[in-house]
Amino acid sequence: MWILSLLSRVPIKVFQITLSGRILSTNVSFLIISYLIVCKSSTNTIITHQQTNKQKMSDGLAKWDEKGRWDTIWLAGLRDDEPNSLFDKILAGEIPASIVKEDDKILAFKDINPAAPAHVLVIPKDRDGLTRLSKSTPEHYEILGRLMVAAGEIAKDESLGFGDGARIVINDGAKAGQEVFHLHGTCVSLDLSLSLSLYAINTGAFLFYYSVLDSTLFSIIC
Amino acid sequence: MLTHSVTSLSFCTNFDLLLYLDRYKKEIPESECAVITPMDVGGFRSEEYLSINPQGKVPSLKCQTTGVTIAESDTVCRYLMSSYSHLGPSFQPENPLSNEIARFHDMYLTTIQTCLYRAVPPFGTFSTRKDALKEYSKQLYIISNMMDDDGPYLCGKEVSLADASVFPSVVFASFMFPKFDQKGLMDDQQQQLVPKKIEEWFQRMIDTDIAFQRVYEEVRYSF
Repeated sequence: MWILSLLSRVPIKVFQITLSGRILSTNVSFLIISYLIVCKSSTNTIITHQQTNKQKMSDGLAKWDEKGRWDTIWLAGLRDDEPNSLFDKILAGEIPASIVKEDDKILAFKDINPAAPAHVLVIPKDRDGLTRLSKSTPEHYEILGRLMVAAGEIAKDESLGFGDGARIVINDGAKAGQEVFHLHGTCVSLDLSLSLSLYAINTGAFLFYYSVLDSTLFSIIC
Repeated sequence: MLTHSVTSLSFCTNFDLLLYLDRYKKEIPESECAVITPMDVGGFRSEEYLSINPQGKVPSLKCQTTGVTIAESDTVCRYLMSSYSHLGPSFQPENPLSNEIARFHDMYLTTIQTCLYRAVPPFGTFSTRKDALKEYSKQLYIISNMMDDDGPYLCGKEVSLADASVFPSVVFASFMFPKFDQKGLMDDQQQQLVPKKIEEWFQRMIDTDIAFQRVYEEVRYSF
């Protein structure tokens, strides 16, 4: 009698499960029915639950999609679709470079056309959308910090030809003289600093001034 | 008689889901254990709620008969498991991996889970989304390598705290990982971000276990 009583509830439960929108195979239905028989769960509770779900079908995670939750999230709606640059070939080892500093995140190498005795470029290994500085977002806080620290270390490295102070420049955009669209800082020894400053002023580039003697001095000239 | 009130935000986090799964699976009567929101006691920063959980977060539990208050989902779940040990499964099978998986989940998955949906970093200890997403996938693989091969649950034939902990997170992961650039997040040999074994277990739970199905549908459609 008890078994018959339970079995009489089974069709109702199967119907309710189907209402939830899930396509159930015979085997799966069998498993669920078996489970229901074993656990003797409450019919009333399930009915209430399924009805509630039907009413809320338009809500939930799907609503996050409708509101464009991921449209502005990096690597989801926002991706780096820009073409590869010369630096990708250097990173891949396809073009030789004189590497002066490297870790898991950054690479620094001598410019192939040096404009001063010491002329080093420092780049993020993973461009990650940073074709230029003005593309930076809070997603880039860490890599920008690491670039600056690496540039600072390079700029005081006497073995590379740097002395007491250096210029560290980031050109932002073609009009500012940026030629390779993979963010890079340029470290040059001071004998070229004046010409670089004038160049930055004339082209509207962002100029980061760095001095070992006065490390707190930081200016942006637009 | 109402003996416990659990403060939750109704599926605002996977922690709440873990708690709900615990309740559904054990079929703890609502007449004994009521779920309320912090608003019911004046809000997160109210004196009354802070007396229940000084962290001002959910979930938390107050035992009406003894006045005992406890917070954090794992602690609340373990308390409910113990208090209602006479109902349903124990969630504590002999397999010691259950507690280890639950701990790994709490320590290394949920702490960076915001990388799946939060607008800006940091994501736990990670300052870039790419690193956090890769780590999230790696942690899922670590758990999948700990899974019982025969199942049907993570630790074998019996449902455990491991299932209750990991399942809600995989609801999020299975929905949100496809939003991201898959190729850029995977290693050369990697086929998918959510391990196949986890995927199969996840689908099996939805298809065969009413309590898991209920939690899945509530977060999927009512979150």
